[in-house]
Amino acid sequence: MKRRPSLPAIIWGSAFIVIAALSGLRQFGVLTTMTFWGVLAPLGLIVVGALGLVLSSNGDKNH
Amino acid sequence: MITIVTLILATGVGVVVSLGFPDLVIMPLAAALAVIGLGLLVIAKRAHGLGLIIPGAMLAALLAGVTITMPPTMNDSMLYRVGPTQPANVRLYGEQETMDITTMEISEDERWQIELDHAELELIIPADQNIVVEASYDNSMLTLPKGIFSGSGHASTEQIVDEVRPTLVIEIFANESQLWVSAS
Repeated sequence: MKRRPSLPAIIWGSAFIVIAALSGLRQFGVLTTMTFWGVLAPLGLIVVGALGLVLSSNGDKNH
Repeated sequence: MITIVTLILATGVGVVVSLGFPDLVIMPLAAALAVIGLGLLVIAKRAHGLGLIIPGAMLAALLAGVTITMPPTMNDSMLYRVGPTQPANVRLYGEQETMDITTMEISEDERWQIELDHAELELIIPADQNIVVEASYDNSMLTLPKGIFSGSGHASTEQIVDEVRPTLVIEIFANESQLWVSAS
């Protein structure tokens, strides 16, 4: 049986790449600090929400 | 195995990037974090990658902290150099600027006003002259030589090297802005 990829790993991996890209843009002055946080804060909430959904669906499968 | 290779690769990439950008603290951290992110996408087919998530989350937190406290690298069009006699009553709206006054000679007591509105300013002051920075800020973040101030309020920093010599007082009004002050 084919194993499904780990969603938490995909979510964290994608979030790390986006954070690294945003920081690079911030370093070179493309993004202001306010814009940096304006993007990062919703992104953080989305990551936490997605992880919550993944973990709760895993919990449901175990029951 | 992928975890260890990714961590070694992230360290290596971070070191190489720091050699390429010796003045930029953010870039090596960002490069290492990107490698960890890619490693997690690769490892996702086999495991949860907790061995990468934990160091990655720590690195991301460090990167966010450094990104706040360090001013961005300005290109030449963003540099605002103040000449020896140039007054500097400035209003910045939605701009990123570096104001370098290190070449300026203060010949008499002066008072400047700088207004920041949704702007970012890196102010580089000469370390060998009398300069007082007084800032009133609202929803802003100030990085002064004596500490970091955020939110709303008043903050000031005094650099008096010789009480006999004239003093430049720089009044800053910041609204939804960010200011870095450093002496050079």
